[in-house]
Amino acid sequence: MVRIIGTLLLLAGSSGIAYSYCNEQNERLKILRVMREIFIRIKKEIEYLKASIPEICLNLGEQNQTFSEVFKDIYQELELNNGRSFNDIWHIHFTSALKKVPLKEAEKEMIKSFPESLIYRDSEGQAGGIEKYIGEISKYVDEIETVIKNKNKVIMCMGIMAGMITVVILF
Amino acid sequence: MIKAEEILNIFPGVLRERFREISLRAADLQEIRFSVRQPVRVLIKNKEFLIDLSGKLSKIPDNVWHISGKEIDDIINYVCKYSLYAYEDEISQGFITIPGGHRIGLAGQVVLNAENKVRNIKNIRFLNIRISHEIIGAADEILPFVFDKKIHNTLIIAPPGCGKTTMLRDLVRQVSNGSGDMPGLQIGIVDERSEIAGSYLGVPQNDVGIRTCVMDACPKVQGMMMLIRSMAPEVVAVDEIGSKEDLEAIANIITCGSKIFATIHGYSMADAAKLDSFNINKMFERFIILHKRDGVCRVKEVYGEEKIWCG
Repeated sequence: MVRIIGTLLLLAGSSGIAYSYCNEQNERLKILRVMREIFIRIKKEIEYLKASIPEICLNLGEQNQTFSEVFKDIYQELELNNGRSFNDIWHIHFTSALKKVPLKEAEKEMIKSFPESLIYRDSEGQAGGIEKYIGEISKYVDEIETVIKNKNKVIMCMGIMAGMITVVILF
Repeated sequence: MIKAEEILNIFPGVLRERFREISLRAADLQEIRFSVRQPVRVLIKNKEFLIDLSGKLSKIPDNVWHISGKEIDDIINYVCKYSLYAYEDEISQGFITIPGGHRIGLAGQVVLNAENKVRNIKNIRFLNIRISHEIIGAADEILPFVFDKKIHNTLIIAPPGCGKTTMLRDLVRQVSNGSGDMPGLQIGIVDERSEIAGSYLGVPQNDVGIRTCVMDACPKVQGMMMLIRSMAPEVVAVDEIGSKEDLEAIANIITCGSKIFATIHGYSMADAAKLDSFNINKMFERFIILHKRDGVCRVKEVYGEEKIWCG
């Protein structure tokens, strides 16, 4: 009886590790897609509406998406007019928001450095500056999509198989 | 009374601390001038001062704050809320209006478009922050001449820096609100340089009355005709007229049955007479001439068909 329970626990554990890895990849993909949508929205608001950054943050805060609370906070702090730069405000709020998400360090740094692109004096130039970030984030999205498509099933199978092999060895 | 916060809110981070003491004198502050690598200058009660690194006023050019290009960029970025593209039109006109109706004049390297018109200004290295001072009651003295049983088409003539715009703004406010025998009238302002109403995001920052609408940052001629078509104002107010097209538009407004309040650069009736080919004496019924005496702007003369008042 104890052996059966041990076997089941071992199989559950190994497949759980594999599932958690796959889930992390899915979550990473979801967040990067959301961020890409946000960058595209910012680009379009600049390109077609010439909306200012606080206005865009307010609009993004009102949308029901993963980072709406972050954009609400950024907007509120911008409206306080306390002398803090947009770079600092964005950096502080996104550092705290990205702590809990399973993104790689390079991906987090890329998101945090977004305000550095806001240096252009005309809307077309500014939209072009943001396009660079959209391109970069799309590269990460494509990479993860490929990983998920090709490797997720293999990883799940490997997880279960590893559990089974361990059970056989232990018996 | 200008709020100290309005002045402080122009500056980001560490620069804000340097203006904390100066902001306490906001009511007397007229201008803050920045030229790259040169001392920062402020104009208070017509006297120029320099600022040291701790924000203290100084007359001696030693140990004063010399502003860098980066600090000027920081101010522009902060004022434009890190959205320079959204201020492209204002920047191409050479100024930005900020909350409180204050104006920041800009100079730097001009970028032209294919039609040789100014498209933008890059490498902005000179700023002139002009603090808006609204004087409620500035038009008290002239109101009895402008409203005399009916409203008269009025031209305010004054040299630069003599308070033409301040006078026009208060005249608009009083006529718009109405008082005693004078009913409040619907007024339309064409504010080409955002100086009369000092609008920020379309909202007038100065008190221009309850029945006033503002066509902000709009060329005078187009603005006057747009207002007539869209808002049916009883009075149209416009600052600094002078071109043939301005006078043609004013003639159209009068033909449409609206009244006009306008200002023009000049020192006397002779300056207004230069525009006589447009029969300016028939267009306007009152001419208010301002001058500066002992450093204070005053009404010098008021003309109707002939001189009716002398200050």
